Amino acid sequence: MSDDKPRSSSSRRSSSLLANDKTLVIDYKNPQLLKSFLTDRGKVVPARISGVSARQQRQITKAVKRARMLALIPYTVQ
Amino acid sequence: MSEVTGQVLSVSAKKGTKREYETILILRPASNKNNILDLVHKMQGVFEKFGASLIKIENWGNRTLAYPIKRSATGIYLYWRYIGGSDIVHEFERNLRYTDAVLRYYTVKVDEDVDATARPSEITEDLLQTISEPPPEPEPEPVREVEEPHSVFSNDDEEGLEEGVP
Repeated sequence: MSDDKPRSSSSRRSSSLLANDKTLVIDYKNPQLLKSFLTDRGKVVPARISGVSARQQRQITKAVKRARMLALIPYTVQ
Repeated sequence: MSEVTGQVLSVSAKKGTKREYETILILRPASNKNNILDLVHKMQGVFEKFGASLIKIENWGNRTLAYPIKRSATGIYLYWRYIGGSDIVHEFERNLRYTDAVLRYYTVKVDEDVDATARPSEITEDLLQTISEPPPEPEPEPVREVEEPHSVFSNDDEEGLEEGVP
């Protein structure tokens, strides 16, 4: 514990973006917002990478699944 | 099913309250003004019969779908918001299934224990006339405030694994 290097994985976190905004309302009717939590292939970005809280991540996954149903965002991007 | 109560049949619900729901419909892009007006009027009858009230309806215009639904690449989005009891969603969706113009629908419970009288309906005949016409500007691409937000994650290592990158 004494001479451990700082964990390099933390560099992958992008804490800057929307993740710091605790008041952010995740709405499935807002595809523009949801797209910022998707990869180019249309997958949901893991919370450890996007840096959102666990609570927000639960809201995001739910909203993404709803928005996909309504063809607001794609299931997959080829 | 035969009994029409208009009440919320839930033990945890407060007596005499209703629930607020929202439903988004995707209609065939060929639907014209009369089709939409007919649909709304028909559904108003359903709402009335089930003691529910339509409080809001919006037309989001003909949008490009993220993937084709029933071979249709675009669809007219109609957003409905209404207050009713437990049985309204079932009946509403049953009626939608019988409507050819409806490509898809999705209902979400917005709120419960709602006092139905406290939220007046915004629906007027004028409004129905305007919503049945798609908005003049078919949703111009919104200006991206964050520059390419998803590009941050584009080098996702998991993506590489799945695609079998050597």
